[in-house]
Amino acid sequence: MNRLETSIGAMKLKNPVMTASGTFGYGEEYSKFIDLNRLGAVVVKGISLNPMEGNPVPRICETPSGMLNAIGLQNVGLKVFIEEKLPFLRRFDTRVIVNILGNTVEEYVELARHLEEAAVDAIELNVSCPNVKKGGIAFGTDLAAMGALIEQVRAATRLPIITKLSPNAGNIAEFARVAENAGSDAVSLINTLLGLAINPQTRRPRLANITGGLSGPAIRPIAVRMVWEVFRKVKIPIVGMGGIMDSDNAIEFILAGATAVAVGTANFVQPDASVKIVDGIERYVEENELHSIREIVGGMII
Amino acid sequence: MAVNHFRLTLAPGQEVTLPAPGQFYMLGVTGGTDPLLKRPFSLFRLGKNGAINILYRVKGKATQMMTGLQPGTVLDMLGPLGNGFPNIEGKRPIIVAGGLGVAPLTALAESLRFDSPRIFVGARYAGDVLATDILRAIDSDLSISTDDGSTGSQGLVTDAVDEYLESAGTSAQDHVIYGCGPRGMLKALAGLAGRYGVEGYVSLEEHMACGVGACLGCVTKAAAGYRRICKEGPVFRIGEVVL
Repeated sequence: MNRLETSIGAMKLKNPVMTASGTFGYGEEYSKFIDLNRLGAVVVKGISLNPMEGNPVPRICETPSGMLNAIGLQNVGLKVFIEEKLPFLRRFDTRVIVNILGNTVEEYVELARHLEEAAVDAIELNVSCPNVKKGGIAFGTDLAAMGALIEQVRAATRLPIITKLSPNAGNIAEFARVAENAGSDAVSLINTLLGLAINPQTRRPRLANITGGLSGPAIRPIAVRMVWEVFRKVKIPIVGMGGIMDSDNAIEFILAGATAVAVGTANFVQPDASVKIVDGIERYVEENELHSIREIVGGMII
Repeated sequence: MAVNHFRLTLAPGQEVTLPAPGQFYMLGVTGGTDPLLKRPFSLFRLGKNGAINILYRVKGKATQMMTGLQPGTVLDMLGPLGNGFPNIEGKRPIIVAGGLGVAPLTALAESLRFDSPRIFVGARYAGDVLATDILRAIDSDLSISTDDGSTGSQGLVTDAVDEYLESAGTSAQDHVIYGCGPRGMLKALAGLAGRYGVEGYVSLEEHMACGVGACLGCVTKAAAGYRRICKEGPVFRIGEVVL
């Protein structure tokens, strides 16, 4: 029996470790460093209907125990993704979850329909990217707009829907509850926290976009706290993320209420971070004589 | 070394792929979370037994910490990454280095030493002029230009290249340009390449998070969209990207 097995709605995962969207390309970039078969799921870089160019550089800068990014959702678009990127990922025994974003409800719906035809395993609704003016975040900061979006996508597809929530939008648990009521199978959190870094010498922002999304270990306690708040409010599974660097960090999220976890910035630091986290969770399960990792979801002792 | 510049020699702990000039490594300095990300460094020289030499300038926290590394310290390194300089058969190399751009071009000059490369080095002032001993051994006519004239001739390195191509007359097109340095210099170099009809390649740099093409942080503008410096570069053909 696989003690690491878990599930998000009807989707079974061989283990709870995913990659966070935007930090793992389309999988191919990391396939020469790690065995993708070992991952519970690969969540690919956000896909829009048409290709997006992204923001000017500098797009990233390092901050204490973290980094700011304002990539601006650069991506190859739906058609190229399905024709050129998806077939590669399909060669591996791992779930493929596609992060999608649009400017209108109709765009999300169209993306979901095409991806269901392309037989991906699930979609993650990006309603929380802080780095573009249009698209995504417009839905993620308005409870009613987000609920309506999820309902429309729900009506259009049988694929599991994971709604990725913003930590910048107010009470995240409220958003999670709306997502649950609108038919989302799960929520993932947190997306990056909006931040700003200024170069004192030049007096200019360090990113061309001025502000960017903060990720990495610096945001972890905030992310863990938000997972715990959401866990107490909803019954659907949570994919927890935010500065997970090792398996202890991953366990922390699981104890706070996450059913699965996503590894993001750590991929940049160590290409094999995600599989090392799978190994570490396996050891934890053995050492603690758990029958299943699911036993400790939300298992924080107070 | 010149002011504020240092060399670091890394002996691979396992069998590794030999790097090509222009390729780079992501180097983890702390293993901790501050600094968090690895830093990109290009190959400066290839030492004995596959030892990788890099040349760096102290710029921030990570490079400051690197100056304090003790011999025998084990560091985490990823590479060689990216595409190096292509070898263009039958053409005489013109190597143009601005400031720290001399790092990857020293590796290139050493690999092209039998093609009689002409080497041009430019810097702000004498304290930023690096590796001249190595480069002069390859090209005894090594040209040095500084902004303030504190060593070599005063002026822009690209003006020296311009003069050389001008004097080459119709044989200018029998050369190939390799450049690395500030964007302004590379832009001027691209202008020369166009004017004299010379093929050329430049190596670019940008902040990087992953170094393997995933984060899309280190892009540079091309005619249509962006190219990843870490993956499609760091060496690009002049004309392939907007300088």
